[in-house]
Amino acid sequence: MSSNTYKTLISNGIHFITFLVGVTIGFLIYLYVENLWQLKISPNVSFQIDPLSIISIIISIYLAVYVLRILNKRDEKSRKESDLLISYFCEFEKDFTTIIRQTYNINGVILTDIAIIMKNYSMRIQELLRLAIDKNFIDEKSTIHSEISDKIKLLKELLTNTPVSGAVEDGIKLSEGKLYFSDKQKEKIVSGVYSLRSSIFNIVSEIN
Amino acid sequence: MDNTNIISIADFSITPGSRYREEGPFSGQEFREDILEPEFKKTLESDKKLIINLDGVLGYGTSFLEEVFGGLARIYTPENILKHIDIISTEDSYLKDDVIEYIQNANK
Repeated sequence: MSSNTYKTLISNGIHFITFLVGVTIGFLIYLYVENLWQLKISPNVSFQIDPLSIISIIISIYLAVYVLRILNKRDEKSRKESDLLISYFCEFEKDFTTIIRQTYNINGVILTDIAIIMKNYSMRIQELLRLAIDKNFIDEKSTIHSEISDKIKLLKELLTNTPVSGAVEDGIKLSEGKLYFSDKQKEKIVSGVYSLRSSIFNIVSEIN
Repeated sequence: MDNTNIISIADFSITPGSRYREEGPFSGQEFREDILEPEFKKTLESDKKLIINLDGVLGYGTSFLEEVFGGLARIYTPENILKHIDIISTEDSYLKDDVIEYIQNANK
């Protein structure tokens, strides 16, 4: 069970218990004062209005509703935060996959341009993960940081690790500061992007 | 007493290039041979620690970092490098682990 599902269950449980407590307090007040004050309107046709029991019922309902509203507001705030964070991750995923696709499809992309892109997106995902952890949507002990780090590193290697001299490579060629990717290398890059998207999907699922 | 020496790669270039000199300016080989190795030798002789700051650069290609750190480890051994250098990378914290991996895997 994810931490957010667990939190939701706890929250709903607290709501229910609070409501019961509110009603119970009202009922106990009614029982306590029941014999203290009764108002008779007429000796013949009499009915007894027990004002305090009415007051206690009103108080218990008010208490239950008031506390529920407070708890619902807190839940709503948490919901809005999680939705916002999810939208940030989705935006990242969309931007990143678009730019990587554009990059490897260009014949002769400048190496420093790719290096700048990768640094920017690496920093961006790290900030998002930090935010998710600070807001308690992801456990600090989660392995997601190292998972994302490995995938970013792999993509950076696929895109910018030009061969050591003497090595026979069928991946990247560097010529006059520009990179050219073989079809095989492009397939590996696509696979790397898909793997990163999968990790982001898992993060979004955990936040939700 | 100051037991550290600091090199900032941003002072060399904010847009480092590729692996070898012949591939273009500000290569990993250029940085390693002209700046890092002389400083590392001094560090070994004086038993100081050499701190390399990766911040301030717009972005690194893998081949640049691998040639700098992996190349240094191929000359001086990974154990020696890890004992005498520290890496600072506050902008992109993933880089520090990457560099350590390049050092450890230098001879593989």
